[in-house]
Amino acid sequence: MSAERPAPPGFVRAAALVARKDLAVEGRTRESMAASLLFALIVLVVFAFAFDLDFVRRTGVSKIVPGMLWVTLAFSAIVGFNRSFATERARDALTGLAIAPVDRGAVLCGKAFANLTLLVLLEAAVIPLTGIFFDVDMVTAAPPLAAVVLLHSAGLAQLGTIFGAVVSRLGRGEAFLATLLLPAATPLFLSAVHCTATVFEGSPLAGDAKWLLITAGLDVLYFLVAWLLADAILEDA
Amino acid sequence: MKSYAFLFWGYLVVWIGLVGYLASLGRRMTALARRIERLENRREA
Amino acid sequence: MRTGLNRTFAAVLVVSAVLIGCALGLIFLVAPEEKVMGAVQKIFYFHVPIAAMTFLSVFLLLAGGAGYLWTRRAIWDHLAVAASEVGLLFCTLVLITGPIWAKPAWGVWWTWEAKLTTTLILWLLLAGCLLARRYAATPEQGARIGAVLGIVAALDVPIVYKAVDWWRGQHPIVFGPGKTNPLAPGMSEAFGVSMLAVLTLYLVLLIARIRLSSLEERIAELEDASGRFR
Repeated sequence: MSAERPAPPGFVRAAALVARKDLAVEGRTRESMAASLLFALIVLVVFAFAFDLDFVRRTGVSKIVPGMLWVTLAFSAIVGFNRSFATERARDALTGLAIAPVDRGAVLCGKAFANLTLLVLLEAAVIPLTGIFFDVDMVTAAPPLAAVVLLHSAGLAQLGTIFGAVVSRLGRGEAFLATLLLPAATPLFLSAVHCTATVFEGSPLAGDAKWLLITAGLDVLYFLVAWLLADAILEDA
Repeated sequence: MKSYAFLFWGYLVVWIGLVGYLASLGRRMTALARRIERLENRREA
Repeated sequence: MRTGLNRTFAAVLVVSAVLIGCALGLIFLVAPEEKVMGAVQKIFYFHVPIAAMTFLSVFLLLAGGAGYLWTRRAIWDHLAVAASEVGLLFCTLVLITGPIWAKPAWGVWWTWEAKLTTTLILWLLLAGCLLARRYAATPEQGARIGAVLGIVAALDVPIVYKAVDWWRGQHPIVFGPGKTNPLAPGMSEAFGVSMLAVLTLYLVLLIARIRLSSLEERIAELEDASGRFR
Protein backbone atom coordinates (compact mmCIF):
# COMPACT_ATOMS: atom_id res chain seq x y z
CA MET A 1 0.00 0.00 0.00
CA SER A 2 1.36 3.38 -0.92
CA ALA A 3 2.27 5.63 2.01
CA GLU A 4 1.24 8.71 0.05
CA ARG A 5 -2.38 9.95 0.08
CA PRO A 6 -3.89 10.26 -3.40
CA ALA A 7 -4.37 13.81 -4.64
CA PRO A 8 -7.85 15.20 -4.01
CA PRO A 9 -10.10 15.10 -7.05
CA GLY A 10 -10.30 18.11 -9.33
CA PHE A 11 -13.42 20.23 -9.63
CA VAL A 12 -15.22 18.32 -12.35
CA ARG A 13 -14.41 14.91 -10.94
CA ALA A 14 -15.47 15.94 -7.46
CA ALA A 15 -18.72 17.38 -8.70
CA ALA A 16 -19.38 14.23 -10.70
CA LEU A 17 -18.72 12.07 -7.63
CA VAL A 18 -21.13 14.08 -5.50
CA ALA A 19 -23.79 14.02 -8.20
CA ARG A 20 -23.42 10.31 -8.72
CA LYS A 21 -23.67 9.66 -4.98
CA ASP A 22 -26.82 11.74 -4.65
CA LEU A 23 -28.46 10.12 -7.63
CA ALA A 24 -27.45 6.66 -6.48
CA VAL A 25 -28.99 7.25 -3.07
CA GLU A 26 -32.14 8.54 -4.68
CA GLY A 27 -32.19 5.71 -7.17
CA ARG A 28 -32.19 3.18 -4.39
CA THR A 29 -34.88 4.70 -2.21
CA ARG A 30 -36.78 6.88 -4.71
CA GLU A 31 -38.03 8.67 -1.63
CA SER A 32 -37.63 12.20 -2.91
CA MET A 33 -39.15 11.48 -6.32
CA ALA A 34 -42.16 9.79 -4.82
CA ALA A 35 -42.83 12.65 -2.44
CA SER A 36 -42.50 15.39 -5.04
CA LEU A 37 -44.47 13.51 -7.69
CA LEU A 38 -47.32 12.83 -5.33
CA PHE A 39 -47.35 16.43 -4.25
CA ALA A 40 -47.36 17.61 -7.88
CA LEU A 41 -50.34 15.42 -8.60
CA ILE A 42 -52.23 16.84 -5.68
CA VAL A 43 -51.47 20.40 -6.73
CA LEU A 44 -52.72 19.67 -10.25
CA VAL A 45 -55.94 18.29 -8.85
CA VAL A 46 -56.40 21.35 -6.67
CA PHE A 47 -55.92 23.51 -9.75
CA ALA A 48 -58.51 21.45 -11.58
CA PHE A 49 -60.98 22.30 -8.83
CA ALA A 50 -59.91 25.94 -8.81
CA PHE A 51 -60.17 26.41 -12.57
CA ASP A 52 -62.32 23.82 -14.22
CA LEU A 53 -61.58 22.52 -17.66
CA ASP A 54 -64.41 24.39 -19.36
CA PHE A 55 -63.21 27.67 -17.99
CA VAL A 56 -59.68 26.90 -19.14
CA ARG A 57 -60.84 26.07 -22.64
CA ARG A 58 -62.97 29.19 -22.88
CA THR A 59 -60.31 31.55 -21.60
CA GLY A 60 -57.62 29.98 -23.73
CA VAL A 61 -55.27 27.24 -22.71
CA SER A 62 -52.14 29.29 -23.22
CA LYS A 63 -53.34 31.95 -20.79
CA ILE A 64 -53.83 29.75 -17.74
CA VAL A 65 -52.06 26.43 -18.09
CA PRO A 66 -48.47 27.74 -18.22
CA GLY A 67 -48.99 29.47 -14.88
CA MET A 68 -50.54 26.39 -13.35
CA LEU A 69 -47.79 24.19 -14.66
CA TRP A 70 -45.01 26.32 -13.23
CA VAL A 71 -46.71 26.83 -9.86
CA THR A 72 -47.03 23.07 -9.62
CA LEU A 73 -43.41 22.55 -10.61
CA ALA A 74 -42.15 25.26 -8.25
CA PHE A 75 -43.81 23.77 -5.20
CA SER A 76 -43.07 20.15 -5.96
CA ALA A 77 -39.46 20.99 -6.79
CA ILE A 78 -39.20 22.50 -3.32
CA VAL A 79 -40.39 19.26 -1.79
CA GLY A 80 -37.57 17.58 -3.70
CA PHE A 81 -34.91 20.12 -2.69
CA ASN A 82 -35.84 19.84 0.94
CA ARG A 83 -35.60 16.09 0.99
CA SER A 84 -32.29 16.10 -0.86
CA PHE A 85 -30.66 18.01 1.97
CA ALA A 86 -32.69 16.43 4.73
CA THR A 87 -31.15 13.01 4.29
CA GLU A 88 -27.69 14.56 4.53
CA ARG A 89 -28.53 16.34 7.74
CA ALA A 90 -30.14 13.28 9.26
CA ARG A 91 -27.00 11.25 8.99
CA ASP A 92 -24.69 14.25 9.47
CA ALA A 93 -23.25 13.47 6.10
CA LEU A 94 -22.90 17.17 5.41
CA THR A 95 -20.01 17.33 7.87
CA GLY A 96 -18.27 14.65 5.91
CA LEU A 97 -18.96 16.52 2.70
CA ALA A 98 -17.84 19.85 4.06
CA ILE A 99 -14.52 18.69 5.47
CA ALA A 100 -13.64 16.51 2.53
CA PRO A 101 -10.56 17.88 0.80
CA VAL A 102 -12.43 19.05 -2.25
CA ASP A 103 -13.54 22.40 -3.53
CA ARG A 104 -16.84 23.15 -1.82
CA GLY A 105 -17.95 24.78 -5.03
CA ALA A 106 -17.64 21.36 -6.62
CA VAL A 107 -19.84 19.86 -3.91
CA LEU A 108 -22.58 22.40 -4.56
CA CYS A 109 -22.19 21.96 -8.30
CA GLY A 110 -22.60 18.21 -7.99
CA LYS A 111 -25.64 18.62 -5.78
CA ALA A 112 -27.16 21.12 -8.20
CA PHE A 113 -26.67 18.71 -11.06
CA ALA A 114 -28.32 15.91 -9.12
CA ASN A 115 -31.20 18.21 -8.21
CA LEU A 116 -31.57 19.21 -11.85
CA THR A 117 -31.68 15.59 -12.97
CA LEU A 118 -34.36 14.76 -10.45
CA LEU A 119 -36.27 17.89 -11.40
CA VAL A 120 -36.19 16.93 -15.07
CA LEU A 121 -37.46 13.47 -14.22
CA LEU A 122 -40.26 15.05 -12.23
CA GLU A 123 -41.13 17.29 -15.14
CA ALA A 124 -41.14 14.35 -17.52
CA ALA A 125 -44.07 13.04 -15.50
CA VAL A 126 -45.84 16.26 -14.57
CA ILE A 127 -45.91 17.88 -17.99
CA PRO A 128 -47.71 15.07 -19.81
CA LEU A 129 -50.12 14.82 -16.88
CA THR A 130 -50.87 18.50 -17.18
CA GLY A 131 -51.51 18.01 -20.87
CA ILE A 132 -53.96 15.25 -20.08
CA PHE A 133 -55.77 17.00 -17.26
CA PHE A 134 -56.16 20.30 -19.06
CA ASP A 135 -56.46 19.14 -22.64
CA VAL A 136 -53.31 20.71 -23.98
CA ASP A 137 -51.48 19.29 -26.94
CA MET A 138 -47.96 18.80 -25.65
CA VAL A 139 -46.77 16.58 -28.45
CA THR A 140 -46.50 18.99 -31.36
CA ALA A 141 -44.98 21.58 -29.09
CA ALA A 142 -42.56 19.11 -27.54
CA PRO A 143 -39.15 20.29 -28.82
CA PRO A 144 -39.48 24.01 -27.99
CA LEU A 145 -41.28 23.10 -24.77
CA ALA A 146 -38.44 20.84 -23.75
CA ALA A 147 -35.92 23.59 -24.45
CA VAL A 148 -37.85 26.15 -22.39
CA VAL A 149 -38.37 23.75 -19.51
CA LEU A 150 -34.75 22.63 -19.44
CA LEU A 151 -33.38 26.16 -19.57
CA HIS A 152 -35.53 27.37 -16.70
CA SER A 153 -35.14 24.20 -14.66
CA ALA A 154 -31.38 24.67 -14.66
CA GLY A 155 -31.76 28.03 -12.95
CA LEU A 156 -34.42 26.74 -10.58
CA ALA A 157 -32.29 23.77 -9.56
CA GLN A 158 -29.26 25.98 -8.97
CA LEU A 159 -31.20 28.44 -6.82
CA GLY A 160 -32.93 25.59 -5.03
CA THR A 161 -29.55 24.06 -4.21
CA ILE A 162 -28.17 27.32 -2.84
CA PHE A 163 -31.16 28.04 -0.66
CA GLY A 164 -31.59 24.38 0.24
CA ALA A 165 -28.03 24.24 1.51
CA VAL A 166 -28.46 27.42 3.54
CA VAL A 167 -31.77 26.33 4.98
CA SER A 168 -30.59 22.84 5.89
CA ARG A 169 -28.38 24.37 8.54
CA LEU A 170 -31.20 26.08 10.34
CA GLY A 171 -33.32 24.29 12.87
CA ARG A 172 -36.70 23.43 11.34
CA GLY A 173 -35.40 25.10 8.23
CA GLU A 174 -37.45 23.09 5.78
CA ALA A 175 -40.46 25.31 6.24
CA PHE A 176 -38.39 28.21 5.08
CA LEU A 177 -37.24 27.05 1.74
CA ALA A 178 -40.34 28.16 -0.16
CA THR A 179 -40.35 31.51 1.63
CA LEU A 180 -36.76 32.21 0.65
CA LEU A 181 -36.62 30.59 -2.76
CA LEU A 182 -39.77 31.80 -4.46
CA PRO A 183 -39.28 35.56 -4.18
CA ALA A 184 -35.71 35.17 -5.39
CA ALA A 185 -36.87 32.99 -8.29
CA THR A 186 -39.39 35.56 -9.56
CA PRO A 187 -37.49 36.42 -12.75
CA LEU A 188 -37.15 32.74 -13.66
CA PHE A 189 -40.80 32.18 -12.97
CA LEU A 190 -41.97 35.13 -15.06
CA SER A 191 -39.79 34.08 -17.95
CA ALA A 192 -40.84 30.43 -17.70
CA VAL A 193 -44.54 31.21 -17.76
CA HIS A 194 -44.15 33.68 -20.61
CA CYS A 195 -42.08 31.37 -22.80
CA THR A 196 -44.29 28.37 -22.08
CA ALA A 197 -47.32 30.42 -23.11
CA THR A 198 -45.56 31.29 -26.36
CA VAL A 199 -44.93 27.60 -27.01
CA PHE A 200 -48.54 26.64 -26.30
CA GLU A 201 -49.78 29.32 -28.66
CA GLY A 202 -47.65 27.84 -31.37
CA SER A 203 -45.71 31.06 -31.90
CA PRO A 204 -42.03 30.73 -32.74
CA LEU A 205 -39.73 30.85 -29.75
CA ALA A 206 -37.40 33.22 -31.54
CA GLY A 207 -39.78 36.01 -30.62
CA ASP A 208 -38.90 35.44 -26.98
CA ALA A 209 -35.17 35.55 -27.57
CA LYS A 210 -34.84 38.35 -25.03
CA TRP A 211 -36.31 36.24 -22.24
CA LEU A 212 -34.39 33.12 -23.21
CA LEU A 213 -31.07 34.92 -23.33
CA ILE A 214 -31.67 36.55 -19.98
CA THR A 215 -32.60 33.21 -18.44
CA ALA A 216 -29.47 31.65 -19.84
CA GLY A 217 -27.52 34.53 -18.32
CA LEU A 218 -29.25 34.01 -14.99
CA ASP A 219 -28.40 30.32 -15.05
CA VAL A 220 -24.75 31.23 -15.41
CA LEU A 221 -25.01 33.95 -12.77
CA TYR A 222 -26.61 31.65 -10.22
CA PHE A 223 -23.93 29.06 -10.87
CA LEU A 224 -21.20 31.64 -10.30
CA VAL A 225 -22.86 32.91 -7.13
CA ALA A 226 -23.10 29.35 -5.81
CA TRP A 227 -19.46 28.76 -6.61
CA LEU A 228 -18.30 32.00 -4.98
CA LEU A 229 -20.41 31.59 -1.86
CA ALA A 230 -19.94 27.83 -1.51
CA ASP A 231 -17.33 28.10 1.22
CA ALA A 232 -19.54 30.31 3.33
CA ILE A 233 -22.62 28.19 2.69
CA LEU A 234 -21.05 24.83 3.50
CA GLU A 235 -18.76 26.08 6.24
CA ASP A 236 -20.17 24.39 9.27
CA ALA A 237 -22.29 21.33 9.56
CA MET B 1 -62.36 66.06 1.30
CA LYS B 2 -61.46 62.48 0.60
CA SER B 3 -58.03 63.49 -0.62
CA TYR B 4 -57.08 64.97 2.72
CA ALA B 5 -58.14 61.85 4.61
CA PHE B 6 -55.71 59.76 2.57
CA LEU B 7 -52.99 62.33 3.03
CA PHE B 8 -53.50 62.33 6.78
CA TRP B 9 -53.34 58.55 7.07
CA GLY B 10 -50.29 58.41 4.86
CA TYR B 11 -48.32 60.83 6.96
CA LEU B 12 -49.52 59.28 10.19
CA VAL B 13 -48.31 55.84 9.15
CA VAL B 14 -44.91 57.16 8.15
CA TRP B 15 -44.36 59.04 11.36
CA ILE B 16 -45.63 56.31 13.64
CA GLY B 17 -43.38 53.86 11.85
CA LEU B 18 -40.23 55.95 12.01
CA VAL B 19 -40.65 57.36 15.49
CA GLY B 20 -41.89 54.06 16.83
CA TYR B 21 -38.83 52.26 15.53
CA LEU B 22 -36.49 54.89 16.93
CA ALA B 23 -38.23 54.67 20.30
CA SER B 24 -38.03 50.88 20.37
CA LEU B 25 -34.32 51.05 19.51
CA GLY B 26 -33.81 53.55 22.30
CA ARG B 27 -35.61 51.34 24.79
CA ARG B 28 -33.65 48.24 23.82
CA MET B 29 -30.39 50.13 23.99
CA THR B 30 -30.97 51.57 27.44
CA ALA B 31 -32.01 48.15 28.71
CA LEU B 32 -28.85 46.58 27.32
CA ALA B 33 -26.70 49.41 28.65
CA ARG B 34 -28.12 48.84 32.11
CA ARG B 35 -27.35 45.13 31.90
CA ILE B 36 -23.82 45.85 30.75
CA GLU B 37 -23.21 48.14 33.68
CA ARG B 38 -24.53 45.55 36.09
CA LEU B 39 -22.36 42.83 34.59
CA GLU B 40 -19.29 45.03 34.57
CA ASN B 41 -19.81 46.10 38.17
CA ARG B 42 -20.26 42.52 39.20
CA ARG B 43 -17.00 41.62 37.51
CA GLU B 44 -15.07 44.34 39.24
CA ALA B 45 -16.59 43.52 42.59
CA MET C 1 -25.98 54.76 31.68
CA ARG C 2 -23.76 54.52 28.68
CA THR C 3 -25.39 53.55 25.44
CA GLY C 4 -22.33 54.70 23.58
CA LEU C 5 -24.29 57.19 21.53
CA ASN C 6 -22.45 60.39 22.03
CA ARG C 7 -22.90 64.08 21.38
CA THR C 8 -22.30 63.76 17.66
CA PHE C 9 -25.19 61.37 17.42
CA ALA C 10 -27.42 63.68 19.42
CA ALA C 11 -26.41 66.52 17.13
CA VAL C 12 -27.31 64.54 14.02
CA LEU C 13 -30.61 63.60 15.59
CA VAL C 14 -31.40 67.25 16.23
CA VAL C 15 -30.37 68.16 12.68
CA SER C 16 -32.68 65.53 11.26
CA ALA C 17 -35.55 66.76 13.40
CA VAL C 18 -34.92 70.29 12.16
CA LEU C 19 -34.78 69.13 8.55
CA ILE C 20 -38.02 67.24 8.98
CA GLY C 21 -39.62 70.33 10.41
CA CYS C 22 -38.41 72.40 7.46
CA ALA C 23 -39.56 69.78 5.02
CA LEU C 24 -43.02 69.65 6.53
CA GLY C 25 -43.20 73.40 6.47
CA LEU C 26 -42.22 73.58 2.84
CA ILE C 27 -44.55 70.77 1.89
CA PHE C 28 -47.64 72.16 3.49
CA LEU C 29 -47.09 75.88 3.44
CA VAL C 30 -45.00 76.61 0.36
CA ALA C 31 -45.40 73.90 -2.25
CA PRO C 32 -48.45 74.35 -4.41
CA GLU C 33 -51.14 71.72 -4.63
CA GLU C 34 -50.85 69.51 -7.66
CA LYS C 35 -53.43 70.15 -10.37
CA VAL C 36 -54.62 66.69 -11.17
CA MET C 37 -54.17 64.64 -8.02
CA GLY C 38 -54.91 67.26 -5.41
CA ALA C 39 -53.64 67.28 -1.88
CA VAL C 40 -52.86 63.59 -1.69
CA GLN C 41 -49.95 64.09 -4.07
CA LYS C 42 -48.05 65.49 -1.10
CA ILE C 43 -47.42 61.97 0.10
CA PHE C 44 -44.91 61.81 -2.77
CA TYR C 45 -42.54 64.11 -0.85
CA PHE C 46 -41.89 61.31 1.63
CA HIS C 47 -42.82 58.26 -0.41
CA VAL C 48 -40.05 58.77 -2.95
CA PRO C 49 -37.21 59.49 -0.47
CA ILE C 50 -38.30 56.52 1.65
CA ALA C 51 -38.22 54.33 -1.44
CA ALA C 52 -34.75 55.66 -2.27
CA MET C 53 -33.54 54.76 1.23
CA THR C 54 -34.93 51.27 0.79
CA PHE C 55 -32.73 50.78 -2.23
CA LEU C 56 -29.77 52.29 -0.39
CA SER C 57 -30.40 49.61 2.24
CA VAL C 58 -30.07 46.91 -0.39
CA PHE C 59 -26.70 48.27 -1.38
CA LEU C 60 -25.55 48.48 2.25
CA LEU C 61 -26.78 44.94 2.84
CA LEU C 62 -24.69 43.75 -0.08
CA ALA C 63 -21.66 45.62 1.28
CA GLY C 64 -22.19 44.33 4.81
CA GLY C 65 -22.68 40.74 3.72
CA ALA C 66 -19.70 40.73 1.40
CA GLY C 67 -17.57 42.57 3.95
CA TYR C 68 -18.43 40.05 6.65
CA LEU C 69 -17.69 37.01 4.49
CA TRP C 70 -14.44 38.62 3.38
CA THR C 71 -13.10 39.85 6.71
CA ARG C 72 -15.21 37.97 9.30
CA ARG C 73 -15.22 41.11 11.40
CA ALA C 74 -18.39 41.72 13.37
CA ILE C 75 -18.83 45.33 12.30
CA TRP C 76 -19.76 44.21 8.80
CA ASP C 77 -22.40 41.88 10.19
CA HIS C 78 -23.75 44.74 12.29
CA LEU C 79 -24.05 46.76 9.09
CA ALA C 80 -25.82 43.92 7.31
CA VAL C 81 -28.33 43.42 10.13
CA ALA C 82 -28.99 47.14 10.47
CA ALA C 83 -29.44 47.52 6.72
CA SER C 84 -31.85 44.56 6.69
CA GLU C 85 -33.92 45.79 9.59
CA VAL C 86 -34.07 49.47 8.79
CA GLY C 87 -34.49 48.55 5.14
CA LEU C 88 -37.44 46.32 6.01
CA LEU C 89 -39.02 49.15 7.99
CA PHE C 90 -38.62 51.63 5.14
CA CYS C 91 -39.83 49.04 2.65
CA THR C 92 -42.95 48.53 4.74
CA LEU C 93 -43.56 52.27 4.76
CA VAL C 94 -43.20 52.42 0.97
CA LEU C 95 -45.68 49.58 0.55
CA ILE C 96 -48.17 51.35 2.81
CA THR C 97 -47.82 54.89 1.48
CA GLY C 98 -47.82 53.69 -2.12
CA PRO C 99 -51.35 52.29 -2.10
CA ILE C 100 -52.54 55.19 0.06
CA TRP C 101 -51.39 57.47 -2.75
CA ALA C 102 -52.49 55.17 -5.53
CA LYS C 103 -56.10 54.77 -4.52
CA PRO C 104 -57.17 58.41 -4.88
CA ALA C 105 -54.67 59.03 -7.68
CA TRP C 106 -55.23 56.04 -9.97
CA GLY C 107 -58.36 54.49 -8.52
CA VAL C 108 -56.79 51.19 -7.48
CA TRP C 109 -54.92 50.17 -4.34
CA TRP C 110 -52.42 48.03 -6.17
CA THR C 111 -51.14 47.15 -9.63
CA TRP C 112 -48.51 44.60 -10.57
CA GLU C 113 -46.20 47.04 -12.25
CA ALA C 114 -42.43 46.94 -11.99
CA LYS C 115 -41.62 49.24 -9.07
CA LEU C 116 -44.42 48.07 -6.81
CA THR C 117 -43.86 44.39 -7.51
CA THR C 118 -40.11 44.64 -7.02
CA THR C 119 -40.63 46.44 -3.73
CA LEU C 120 -42.96 43.68 -2.59
CA ILE C 121 -40.45 41.00 -3.57
CA LEU C 122 -37.73 42.97 -1.79
CA TRP C 123 -39.90 43.04 1.32
CA LEU C 124 -40.24 39.27 1.18
CA LEU C 125 -36.50 38.80 0.67
CA LEU C 126 -35.56 41.09 3.57
CA ALA C 127 -38.12 39.47 5.85
CA GLY C 128 -36.74 36.07 4.86
CA CYS C 129 -33.17 37.14 5.68
CA LEU C 130 -34.14 38.40 9.11
CA LEU C 131 -36.29 35.39 9.87
CA ALA C 132 -33.55 32.95 8.85
CA ARG C 133 -31.09 34.65 11.23
CA ARG C 134 -33.38 33.91 14.15
CA TYR C 135 -33.31 30.20 13.47
CA ALA C 136 -29.54 29.98 13.44
CA ALA C 137 -27.89 27.84 16.09
CA THR C 138 -25.09 30.27 16.95
CA PRO C 139 -24.49 33.98 16.34
CA GLU C 140 -21.64 33.17 13.96
CA GLN C 141 -23.85 30.91 11.91
CA GLY C 142 -26.56 33.55 11.92
CA ALA C 143 -24.09 36.13 10.70
CA ARG C 144 -22.83 33.86 7.95
CA ILE C 145 -26.26 32.78 6.75
CA GLY C 146 -27.52 36.34 6.96
CA ALA C 147 -24.59 37.46 4.84
CA VAL C 148 -25.16 34.78 2.18
CA LEU C 149 -28.90 35.44 1.99
CA GLY C 150 -28.32 39.18 2.00
CA ILE C 151 -25.89 38.98 -0.90
CA VAL C 152 -28.22 36.78 -2.95
CA ALA C 153 -31.18 39.06 -2.20
CA ALA C 154 -29.26 42.20 -3.09
CA LEU C 155 -28.06 40.73 -6.39
CA ASP C 156 -31.53 39.53 -7.20
CA VAL C 157 -33.32 42.86 -6.77
CA PRO C 158 -32.17 44.53 -9.99
CA ILE C 159 -32.84 41.31 -11.88
CA VAL C 160 -36.37 41.12 -10.50
CA TYR C 161 -36.94 44.74 -11.44
CA LYS C 162 -35.89 44.24 -15.03
CA ALA C 163 -37.90 41.06 -15.37
CA VAL C 164 -41.11 42.59 -14.04
CA ASP C 165 -40.50 45.70 -16.10
CA TRP C 166 -40.50 43.68 -19.30
CA TRP C 167 -43.53 41.87 -18.11
CA ARG C 168 -45.41 45.16 -17.52
CA GLY C 169 -44.87 48.85 -16.68
CA GLN C 170 -47.03 51.73 -15.50
CA HIS C 171 -45.55 53.67 -12.52
CA PRO C 172 -45.69 57.43 -13.01
CA ILE C 173 -42.22 58.44 -14.02
CA VAL C 174 -41.53 61.83 -12.57
CA PHE C 175 -37.77 62.02 -13.03
CA GLY C 176 -36.52 60.35 -16.15
CA PRO C 177 -33.76 60.71 -18.69
CA GLY C 178 -34.37 63.54 -21.07
CA LYS C 179 -37.30 64.97 -19.15
CA THR C 180 -37.19 68.57 -18.12
CA ASN C 181 -37.93 69.05 -14.46
CA PRO C 182 -41.67 68.44 -14.26
CA LEU C 183 -42.05 69.80 -10.76
CA ALA C 184 -43.50 73.24 -10.39
CA PRO C 185 -41.35 75.78 -8.54
CA GLY C 186 -41.89 75.40 -4.83
CA MET C 187 -42.18 71.66 -5.26
CA SER C 188 -38.51 71.12 -6.07
CA GLU C 189 -37.31 72.75 -2.88
CA ALA C 190 -39.78 70.84 -0.77
CA PHE C 191 -38.71 67.61 -2.44
CA GLY C 192 -35.02 68.34 -2.00
CA VAL C 193 -35.37 69.14 1.67
CA SER C 194 -37.55 66.08 2.24
CA MET C 195 -34.95 63.90 0.58
CA LEU C 196 -32.25 65.30 2.82
CA ALA C 197 -34.44 64.95 5.90
CA VAL C 198 -35.26 61.32 5.18
CA LEU C 199 -31.63 60.54 4.41
CA THR C 200 -30.48 62.00 7.72
CA LEU C 201 -33.19 60.17 9.62
CA TYR C 202 -32.24 56.95 7.87
CA LEU C 203 -28.62 57.38 8.93
CA VAL C 204 -29.73 58.08 12.48
CA LEU C 205 -31.69 54.83 12.59
CA LEU C 206 -28.92 52.87 10.89
CA ILE C 207 -26.25 54.07 13.31
CA ALA C 208 -28.49 53.47 16.31
CA ARG C 209 -29.22 49.93 15.13
CA ILE C 210 -25.52 49.23 14.58
CA ARG C 211 -24.84 50.53 18.06
CA LEU C 212 -27.49 48.18 19.41
CA SER C 213 -25.70 45.23 17.79
CA SER C 214 -22.43 46.34 19.39
CA LEU C 215 -24.12 46.43 22.78
CA GLU C 216 -25.46 42.92 22.24
CA GLU C 217 -21.98 41.79 21.31
CA ARG C 218 -20.58 43.29 24.50
CA ILE C 219 -23.19 41.51 26.59
CA ALA C 220 -22.30 38.21 24.96
CA GLU C 221 -18.62 38.82 25.78
CA LEU C 222 -19.40 39.64 29.39
CA GLU C 223 -21.69 36.68 29.85
CA ASP C 224 -19.15 34.33 28.33
CA ALA C 225 -16.40 35.71 30.54
CA SER C 226 -18.39 35.57 33.75
CA GLY C 227 -19.21 31.99 32.91
CA ARG C 228 -22.46 32.06 34.81
CA PHE C 229 -24.93 32.49 31.99
CA ARG C 230 -24.61 30.09 29.01
